[in-house]
This record gives sequence, C-alpha cells and structure tokens, in this order.
Amino acid sequence: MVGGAGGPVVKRQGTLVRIITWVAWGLLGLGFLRVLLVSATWDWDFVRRSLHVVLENLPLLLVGRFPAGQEPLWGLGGLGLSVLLALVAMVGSFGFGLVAGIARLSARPYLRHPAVLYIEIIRGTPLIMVIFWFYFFLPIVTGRNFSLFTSAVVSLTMFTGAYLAEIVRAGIQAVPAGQREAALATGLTSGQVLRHIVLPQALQIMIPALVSQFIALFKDTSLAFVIGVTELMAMAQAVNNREIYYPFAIYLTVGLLYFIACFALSRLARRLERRLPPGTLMEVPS
Amino acid sequence: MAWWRAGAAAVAGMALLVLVIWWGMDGTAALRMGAMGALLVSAYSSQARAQRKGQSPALWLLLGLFPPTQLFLGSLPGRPAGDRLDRHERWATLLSAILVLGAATWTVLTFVDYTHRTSPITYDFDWGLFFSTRYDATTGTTLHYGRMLLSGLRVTIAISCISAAVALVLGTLVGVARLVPIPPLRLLAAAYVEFFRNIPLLVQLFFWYFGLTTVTPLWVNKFLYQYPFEIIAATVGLAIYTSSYIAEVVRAGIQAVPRGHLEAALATGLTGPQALRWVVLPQAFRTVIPPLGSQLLNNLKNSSLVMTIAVADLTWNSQQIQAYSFKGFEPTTAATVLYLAMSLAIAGMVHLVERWSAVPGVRS
Repeated sequence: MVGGAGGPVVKRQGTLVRIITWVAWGLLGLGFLRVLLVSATWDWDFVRRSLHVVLENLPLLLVGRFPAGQEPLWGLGGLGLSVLLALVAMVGSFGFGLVAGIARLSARPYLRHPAVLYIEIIRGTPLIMVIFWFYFFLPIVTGRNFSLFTSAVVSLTMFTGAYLAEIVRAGIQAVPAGQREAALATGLTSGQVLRHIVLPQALQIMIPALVSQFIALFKDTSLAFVIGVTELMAMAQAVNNREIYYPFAIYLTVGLLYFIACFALSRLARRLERRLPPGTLMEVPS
Repeated sequence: MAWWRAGAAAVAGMALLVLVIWWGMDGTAALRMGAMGALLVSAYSSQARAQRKGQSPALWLLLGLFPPTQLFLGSLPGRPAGDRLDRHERWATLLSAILVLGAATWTVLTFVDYTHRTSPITYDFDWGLFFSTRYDATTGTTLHYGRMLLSGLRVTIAISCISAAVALVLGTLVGVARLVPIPPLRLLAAAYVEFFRNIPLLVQLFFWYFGLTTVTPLWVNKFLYQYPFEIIAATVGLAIYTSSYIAEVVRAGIQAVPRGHLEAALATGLTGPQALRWVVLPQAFRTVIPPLGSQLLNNLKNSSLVMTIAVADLTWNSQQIQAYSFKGFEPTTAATVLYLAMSLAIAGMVHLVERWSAVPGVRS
C-alpha cells in the first residue's frame, strides 16, 4: 500500500488500533535496545578509547596544522581546506559553466561544437581520471609545475563546470520560448535578449539544481586526497595511520562531518525549491 | 541599511588579516588572504542587499561570489525587467570584480613554479605499449600491458554490474519503504537515504574496508577474509551508495503514478503488495528509465574510486602501467577512452530500453 503525493492511501484507522500499533513498535524497539545493551558483548573500554582518539584529533580533522607559517596555505587542512577547495572550485565552475552552457546553445557552430565536446567528454569520464589528467599531464603540456591545491582546484572546476553547463542549458530552455521571441520582436539583439530577458529568469529557476550540484562538488573534494591534497580525507588517513586501531571511529567521525555539512546544504536546497514561483519546472539531463 | 553589516564584515576581515600576519605570513600570502576577504565581503554584502530587497538570498550569494556575472546581466533576477544595478551597486560590483579576478590571477601566478623547467618537455609517445610484452627487471616478470588493462576492465565491469544489480533491488525496496504508511519504516528509509547520500563515497568505502572489520567479531572476519575482501567491500559500498540515489528516483516514479490507479487496483480486490507489483511499479519504472540510467552511469564512473582500497580495476591498472613503464599518457588515455566508451554504451542501452518499454501511443 503506497501513498501518493497527498499522503497515505489507507483510511484513517481507529484510535485503539493506532495505539496498539505504536505500543507494538515500542516493544520491538525496547527489545532491540535490550539486545544491544545487555545481550551483545560491548567492549566499553574500546568505545571509551575510540572516543578519546576522536576528540584528541578533532582539531586536526577540522583545520589541519593551521597556523603553520611556511607551509602552503599556512598549513590549512582538514575540513577547512575541503571547504576552501569547494568554495574556490564553486566560484570558478559557476563562471565556466555559465560560459559553456551559453556556448552550448549558441547558433554558431564554432562555439557550439567545442562546448558539446567538452561537456560530453567530461561527463563521460570519472572525476578521478580528470584529476589524474590535470595533475600528471598539465605540467607536461605547459612545461610548468603547479601546486597540489591548484591542480585539485582546476580539475574540480573543469569537472563541475561541465555539469553546471548542462544545468545552465536546462535553465535557459526552461524559460518560456515566448519571452525570447517577444523580446526579439521588439528589436533587441540576441545578446541583449540573453542579458536582459532570459538569463535573469533562468538563474532563478536554476537555484535548486545549482545547490545540489554544489553539494556534489563538496563531496567530490574528498577525491583530491588521491593526489595528496591534505583535505579532510587525507587528514583522516593520516590520523588513522598514527592511531592504527581506531579506523571505525575515525572514518565514522569523518562521515558525520561530511554528513552535517551536506545535509544542511540539502535542506537549504529543499527550502529554495519551495520558494520558487509556481509553474517553473526544469529537468536536468544528468 | 546593510552598510553597517558590510562594514562590520570588513572590520572582521581586517582583524583576521592582522591575526594571520601576526602568525607569521609573508606579504604575498597576506595579499591573497585579503583578496579572499574581499570576495567574502562582496558575497556577503550582495546577499544582504538581496535580503533587503526581498530577492532570493542564495542566488545573490552566488552572484556575489562571481561578481562578473552581475556586471554582465542587463536586468536583475527578481526585479522588474530593465531594472539595472544603480550607480553605487555598479561601482561596488566593479571594484569587487577587479579585486576577485586580480586575486585569482595573482593566486594562480604565485602557485606556478617557474624555476623547475626552463626547456620544453619532450615526450615520445609509444602506443605499441599495449601490444607487446616487456621484461620488468625489478620484479623479474614479463608484463603484457594490454592484458593488464583488459584485466582491469574486467574487474570494473564486474563490480559495476553486480553493484548496479544489488543497488536496483535495494533502492526499490527503500524507495517503496519511504511511501509505505508505517511511520517507523518510513523514518528508517528516509534516514537511510539521507545518510548514505550525504557522505562521500570515498569515506564510505574507507569505512567498509578499513573500519568495519575492527569492530566485527573474529569469526565474521575469518569468514570475510576467505574471499577477496577488498572486492566485497567495494561492491557493497558502491551498491549502498547508488541504492540511496535509486531510492529517490523510484520514489519520484511512484509518486508520478496517478493515485486513481492504486485505488482502482485496491478496489478490484488486489492486496497492497499485489497492487504495487502489478499496477504501480511497472508504470513507475517506465517513467524513471532516464534518471535510472543516469544513476547506473554514475555507478560506473564511481566504480573508479575503488582503486583507493586496492581493487585492481581499470584506473588502478592504468596507474600501475604508468608506474612500471614511466609512460603516463598512453595508459591514462586508454583508460579514459574505455570509460567514455562504456558510458556511451550504457547511454545507448538506456535509450534502447526506453524505446522498447514504451507503450505505443502513450507519451511518458
């Protein structure tokens, strides 16, 4: 029995039935708790030590060795560096995606084809391969060395830019065609139509999709760890290597840290979705 | 007025700057820090302005983080058409745009290390790499790089297929559980989806591979270690991660089926599960084929992460070849092309399935 959009299908049950149901669920939960606390053998000392390890290393997980003068980015690491990576890549990829998305819809083939090529290639490739490309081969192509942070930011920007381009395209296409036609009919040039009529509306429609893409970006920053950027995941591994016996607690903590950040963002996305004017619909081909 | 708020943010930024210099940074770093502060102030004041005028704060936070957009836009989102930035806003935006773009350029330039390479790099391509055997002196074995790549491909395909199948079943169950009128079950399913969707796959893989076996009893570990545990952990981790996405897709599909269908099915005497199996789910799955396909595509791409827990998949093997042969371009290109080909193949298959399952005369 499945509820549709409006709630459960089943008729409202009597009060007695509902009380009995809840009591049954409560008893089941109590039984579960009893098994957990009494029957299962818990090594409480191990739990205590795990907690201690986590609390002791929490500053390292949050900001790395932060005020460490000579290190790149002043020794910032952990969650702080993850957020910084995500922020910088977000700013870059927003601009990049905007340009690529507009170029994707352009009538000029010399703009459209490179945009299509870029979007399709990046979207068909795993992020880890993109990171490898920029980390190992950008120095060979350009003849210069880049810092770890720069390579990570560039690859994250290029990767997210392709997905944002698709969102921009969907957003522009979601603006009713009549708007564009009417604006063209009044004598505006196509560039003016884009700037004055289409983009201001499209940007508003795109907000929820943008936020969820940025959540994905934040989760993706964990991959920068494979080339040795000292963000949260790398810090977790460093702590784990030092404390050998507590990977369960350490990775659980890291997971919770990511969860708190991403869950808060996704709630924000849901709230924004509700605030959108009714009738605005956008389908992102992901 | 939000001016005092912007001013307070600027003062806070200055204080931070002083503090950081106090900690012993050089001038370059301090400048970069200042530029970053300018960006945050720009974003903050732009957001405050939007809030004042009753526009979407999130959008303006974003626009503030990327000031050139504001200059490019002729009309402003959420304002009447033709309503442009006023004089003060234009100057503020221009200033922050210059600051931000300058800071970005500056940052990139300072990160570039000019000292290392003065002569152009030469790289001789060797595409015959994959078609010949090489003797490896360090291990004393004969390696066939092409076969290494193919064995990695096999592992990638196997892990993707198995985890996709498991995720499809698990995701459907969880997706249905999210709509069943039993509150505890619904809560549990929602918690499952939110928990596994909001934690990066990498963390989950590390948790399953490194974390789990330190708390499970010995007999469980003995049982698990009979098998290649890293492959089990990778498959299970991938399946659970993908299933949380598929659950949302399936839920959306079920909600898209008109309520009347379910009510009619129940009225004809079908039980709840029967109505679900024979009436609701077939229609739901038909509508969600495209998003489901893109989740399977993501599953394939995500399977490249399993190299971090030492599963010898395609990505891992391409890096192994690089380590053995000092040739980086060829194996990475080959792996990228293979991933692209697989992505295209999945996209094509999804398209075919969509066409086959379409009901004639009915637009989905």
